[in-house]
Amino acid sequence: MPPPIATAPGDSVAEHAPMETPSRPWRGVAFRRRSLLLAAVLLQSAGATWFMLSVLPYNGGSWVEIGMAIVFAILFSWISVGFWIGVFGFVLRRMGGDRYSLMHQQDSDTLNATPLASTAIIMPIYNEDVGDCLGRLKTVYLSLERTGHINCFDFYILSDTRDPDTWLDEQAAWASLTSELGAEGRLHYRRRPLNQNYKSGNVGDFLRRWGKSHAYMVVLDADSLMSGDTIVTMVRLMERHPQVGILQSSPSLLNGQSVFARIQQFSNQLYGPLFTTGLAAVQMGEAAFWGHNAILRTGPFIRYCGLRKLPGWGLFRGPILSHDFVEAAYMGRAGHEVWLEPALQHSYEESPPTLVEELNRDKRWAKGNLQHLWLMLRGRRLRLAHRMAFLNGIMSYAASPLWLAFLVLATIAAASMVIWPIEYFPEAHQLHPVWPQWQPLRAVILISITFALLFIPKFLAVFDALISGRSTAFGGALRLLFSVLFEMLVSALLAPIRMLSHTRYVLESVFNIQLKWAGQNRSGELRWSQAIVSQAFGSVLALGWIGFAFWIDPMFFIWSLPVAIPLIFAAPVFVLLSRIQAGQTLRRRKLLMIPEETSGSQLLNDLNNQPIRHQPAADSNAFEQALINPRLNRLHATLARDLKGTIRMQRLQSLRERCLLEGAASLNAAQRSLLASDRTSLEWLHARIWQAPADSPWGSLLRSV
Amino acid sequence: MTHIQPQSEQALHRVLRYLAMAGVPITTTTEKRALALIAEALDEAPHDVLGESIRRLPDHFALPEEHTPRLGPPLHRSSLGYGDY
Repeated sequence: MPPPIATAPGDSVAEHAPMETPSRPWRGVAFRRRSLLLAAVLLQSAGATWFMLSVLPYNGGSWVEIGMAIVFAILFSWISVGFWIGVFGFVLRRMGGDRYSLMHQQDSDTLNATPLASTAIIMPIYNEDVGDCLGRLKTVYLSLERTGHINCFDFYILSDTRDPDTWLDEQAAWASLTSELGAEGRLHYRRRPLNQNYKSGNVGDFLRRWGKSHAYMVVLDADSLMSGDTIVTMVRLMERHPQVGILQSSPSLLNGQSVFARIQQFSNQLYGPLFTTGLAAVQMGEAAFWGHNAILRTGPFIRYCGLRKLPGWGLFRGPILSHDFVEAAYMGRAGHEVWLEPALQHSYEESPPTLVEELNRDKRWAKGNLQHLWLMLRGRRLRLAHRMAFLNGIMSYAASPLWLAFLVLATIAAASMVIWPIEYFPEAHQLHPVWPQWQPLRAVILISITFALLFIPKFLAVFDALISGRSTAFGGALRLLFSVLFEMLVSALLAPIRMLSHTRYVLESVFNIQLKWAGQNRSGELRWSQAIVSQAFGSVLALGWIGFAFWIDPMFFIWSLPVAIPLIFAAPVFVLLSRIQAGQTLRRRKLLMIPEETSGSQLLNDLNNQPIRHQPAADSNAFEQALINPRLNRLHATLARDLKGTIRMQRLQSLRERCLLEGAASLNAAQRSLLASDRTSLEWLHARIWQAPADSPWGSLLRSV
Repeated sequence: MTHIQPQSEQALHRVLRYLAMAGVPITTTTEKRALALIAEALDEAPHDVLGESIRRLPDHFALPEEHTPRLGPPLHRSSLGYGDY
């Protein structure tokens, strides 16, 4: 018998009355914690900037040096925030966790006794690998089935896919999976005819149609994986805390195969808990929404979280690209809380397999985050914490051009000592001359402090793992340490490469232009020739820079090497990190291990051992299959619409005839998509293709299927 | 020397392939009925055996009906609230 679903009479399910648990007041605590963080960051950054000025030849007495000091102060503050978040996280974890977090406010008996409410599990997809993403959804389904609460959940595949071969395959895979799981009426598929406003538009379309049927929705990305127990716990937490609008889990990375993905998932799983604990402790009920692996209360989300197009200019005009932070801010503005809960386990996503794919993703995210500047400055009645979350996102990308600007200014400052005459009296009416000189020892100290800020939280995470006994899950203490050193080396190599790419993305976004100097869209392992060509600009730039640095000052040359060397050798770094075999070799040697690999994982086992039954045909694409295969043709025809309109009918007739005479290859994707959306065309073509002469394009294809 | 496959042979192959893809088990009886269908098509349209055999297929075979699941549950419409910025 299904567990009861709590609903108030006369209301939609989205507005049902949950069982409330009084929450601990947290706003005062949040104020104190944020004040402490602010004081620590400001003091540390002010001290470091003063120290930096003492390194410079004129101690800040020139415009170039003032510029360097300003940029340095911003960048150092940015690093300092990360450092203190890590320290907070370490302290809280050592104290047994944050007692204000939602999980700590419940005892397990109360939580387990909480009835569930109707919840939609939604997976918005866009031109994804069908087998992979539906395989993950199947794993989540099976895991929820094992909890005994599957009756409280409905699954929605929300497709924005435009490529007909992919969406036809999605439909076929969905029908097959529904039958495989016996999930008719529980596993749904919807493809929007028009994909307006990106992912948020897709989710909005779902909410307009079915949002009122569900009290909550759990949003999954195409690469998300969550255990049934975690989802059930999240629903119960939402039931116990009706003031919470969004509860965000902290997804861990897993299932990485290449060296790059394994490094990412290792660092995420080792350092992640420290940073998310610290972040959650500072944000408290004003956390951010990360767009997936989260549960949202549908009622307030429908009422308050519609996203208007931005009315500004350039970048700040049009649909909001990165919707999640904005939705969290709107939820906060409506008086609902948004919590990040690091104690929720078994919530996963996957790392991009290669650096190229990560940078491609960053390109989209950079534009989306920079757009938030408009909302940060002009959004009305938003909570300060959410404005700071916008700033945090903006700085994730703006830090790169600032770093580049710092390097440029440093180069100008160094060059000015050689090229231009030295100013002994930089200020008017100066009695004593200034003897400008760099302070190399102080510079080394400053760099050491900066590196300490970057690396101390990582060592705290290692220490945390060692004293909590988690090191075994990372391959043991020795291998853990070696893995950390390797990860740090790779991070140092990747930092300048990311800096240059992110700078490009920021410039492209701000000036609304397309600069071509780095990687292209590619997936899988990277070939040497591709990597050399795509990274040539950065490598040549770095070579020119260090050549110039050597000419002006050998000390400056040495100072430039940590940035220049990774750029010069970017191509080998790209290629080697994309290698899957090398990643597997590391795994066999128990390096860069994660707990799921060491101790096993039911989710991972299900994912790898129980793929979906549907397999795409090897000898023809999904469009051809939809026209040839009688069963698939019937399925797609049943799901298609009868398109109407005289002009459209004429166009369809013309396309049908061309498709029949010249084959599917004679049509472009939009034309094939139109035909596949029309029931009459699907049936008409199916009947005639099977009657086609043997020497026609379809006749020869029929011989091979 | 290239082997030219007779129309009837191609038609038989096509009919059996269609039936298999439609989910009809290919048994001896099925094959006999397919041969009878081809013979009929040869009599009726000797110059278009391929087309005629497929056109006559529904008269000779009942294809299995497969249930298609519903795409989504009944609609429960609402509208999104768009506040100011």
